[in-house]
Amino acid sequence: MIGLPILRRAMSLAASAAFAAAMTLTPMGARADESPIKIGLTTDLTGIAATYAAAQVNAVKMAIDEINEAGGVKGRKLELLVRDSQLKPALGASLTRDLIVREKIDYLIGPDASSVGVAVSGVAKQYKKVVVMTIPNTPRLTGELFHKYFFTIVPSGTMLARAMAEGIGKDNSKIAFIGGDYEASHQAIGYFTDWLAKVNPNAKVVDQQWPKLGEQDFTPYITQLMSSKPDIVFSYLWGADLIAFIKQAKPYGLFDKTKFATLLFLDDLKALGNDMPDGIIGQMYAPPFGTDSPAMSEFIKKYQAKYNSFPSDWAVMGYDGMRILADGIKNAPSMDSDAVADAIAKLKFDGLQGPLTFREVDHQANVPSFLGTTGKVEGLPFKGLVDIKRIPAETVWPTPEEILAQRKS
Amino acid sequence: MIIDILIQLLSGVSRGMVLFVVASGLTLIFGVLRIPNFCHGSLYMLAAFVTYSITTAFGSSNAGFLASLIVAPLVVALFGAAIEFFLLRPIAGREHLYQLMVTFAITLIVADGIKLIWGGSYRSVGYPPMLDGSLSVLGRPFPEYYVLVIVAGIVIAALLALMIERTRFGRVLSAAVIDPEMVGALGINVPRLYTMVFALGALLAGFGGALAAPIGSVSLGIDNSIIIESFAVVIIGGSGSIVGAFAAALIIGIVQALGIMVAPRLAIAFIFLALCAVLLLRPQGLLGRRV
Repeated sequence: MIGLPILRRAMSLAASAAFAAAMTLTPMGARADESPIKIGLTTDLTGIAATYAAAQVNAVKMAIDEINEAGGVKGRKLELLVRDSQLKPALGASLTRDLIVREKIDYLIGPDASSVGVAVSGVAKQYKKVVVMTIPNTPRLTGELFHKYFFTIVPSGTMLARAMAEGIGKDNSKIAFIGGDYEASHQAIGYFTDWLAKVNPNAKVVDQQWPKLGEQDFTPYITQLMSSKPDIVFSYLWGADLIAFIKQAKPYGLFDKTKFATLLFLDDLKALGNDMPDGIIGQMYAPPFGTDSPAMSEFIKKYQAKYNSFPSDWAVMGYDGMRILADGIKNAPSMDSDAVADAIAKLKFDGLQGPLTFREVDHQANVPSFLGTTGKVEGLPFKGLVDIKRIPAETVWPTPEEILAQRKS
Repeated sequence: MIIDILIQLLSGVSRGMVLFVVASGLTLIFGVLRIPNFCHGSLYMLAAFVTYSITTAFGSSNAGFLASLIVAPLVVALFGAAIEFFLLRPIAGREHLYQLMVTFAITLIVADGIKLIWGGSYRSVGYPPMLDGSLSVLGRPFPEYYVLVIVAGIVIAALLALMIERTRFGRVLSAAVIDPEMVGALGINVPRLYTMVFALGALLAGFGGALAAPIGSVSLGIDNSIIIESFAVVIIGGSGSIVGAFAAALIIGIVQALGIMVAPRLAIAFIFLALCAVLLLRPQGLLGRRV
């Protein structure tokens, strides 16, 4: 019977060893398959802004892949859930709600169109979810709709309109305007004229044309614009509308007779290729060729290798937006929305376009915007901007007092 | 001022011509098959995308442009014939509501198909190099390409009128507009006639799409604006009437161009005011027959 106690002892030893092993293994195992941090992205994959959404999704995915390859955030992987809001605010709101309630996502990253942005920001506020916006830029988001979980790295409509008013220069006094007949365009001309009165009081808007969004034939508008004989035309057309306008205005000699300043997306430059006239004043959000830094060159190279296309403004902002969200999660003491929002608000982020921080009053990042004239840029397969000027946010963003006044009214 | 009006008028005419080419196809289909062909705009859009592919392959040369003017309409005509044969013919006996639903479903399928093949981004087709510049009309520049569009519109109108007046197919076609049953009773193969008319209508939509591609942008959504205006042409001109469609398209193009000079914010409304007036005062259309 000697063997038995030994056996029993051996067995208990084995059991305790197994138990100890299990004890040490369990946390490790649990860490390996611990649930990922879920990021929700509602964006307009269908409709007139679909190209921008596609670049945004690509860039956010690329940022997430890189973060995951480097071990994730706080040892957890990031997982992206994408929904198509089809440029419908109501659909955007319900898809975002579904992501939060049913899919249990932890944080949101920005949608595409401003109208959907307004809806998504509302849902984020209701459910206390941090949202980083990378395309929408209506001033209402930082104004009356602001809440502590909202962050934006997009130059706002106000900032762009003011930069344009300054960029147009004192030598132009007769300005004609053309813009699609929708909210953002009406806002833009409003902010533009207000700022113009300050920086160039002699200048006047002599003509306004409001074609519908998706107009195919701009010729009647072109002849009208030219008959008012402006020094410069300020356009708030973009995308397919801008392309149709430029192609139709060129043979009418508009670009020979007057100067032309327009909002411009990299997608427009890409689509027009060599049909893009030289010497147009273009205003851009975040063109990759606007910043000459190793980080940006590295980003362009990686993005091209991965998606076989040149990154657009939306890709630059989507990539930075996702990394800002990840840094916020990493710096926060807990996963809680309030903690992460506080961490992002305090963040000193080293972005593709340089360092950026968020302002306390409206969580607007001090992102630059760009003005330049169209022309051939070395190393670009399509035209870009030459004589590019970087406009710091600080010179054009509304002061905290203006923001507070806007919220009261 | 008068020169401004004349130039505006001329650009209105060129706009009207693209509209005529597309709407003439719609009015034939509507007149003969009695189907409000919702997918007509999709055929136009498809042709624009095919044109994009062809001109890109040829490196935006004159040859590429001419090839696209021939190939894109033919591709779309074949596609149209297939739609009629496989989707509309099987339900030809049913209520028109079903046919309407099918053509609407095709608009969605074509839009998604284009997204699958060409992607969602907008594109641009350049003017052919030979028509890149502008002419001087009364001392003002006027795009050469628009002159081509106007000429092409007039040629198409003349060819269609000739076909209807002088060929057997044309006479059968105009008889079918008036009374399709009688045409069948006379021993004409009506289903075959329907397929041919649908293919012809699609060919015209395709030609319009190829012709318009260099003017605007090639993007998803260009089907919407053209289909609404084309229906306005059919209603104002009278269904099945080529001459009516020609007149209506010109009226719409010119009214819209001049309307912008008078009341820019109301420019969009002018067509629809004209449409309402015709529906109230002359429901069969300017040159249509009372059914």
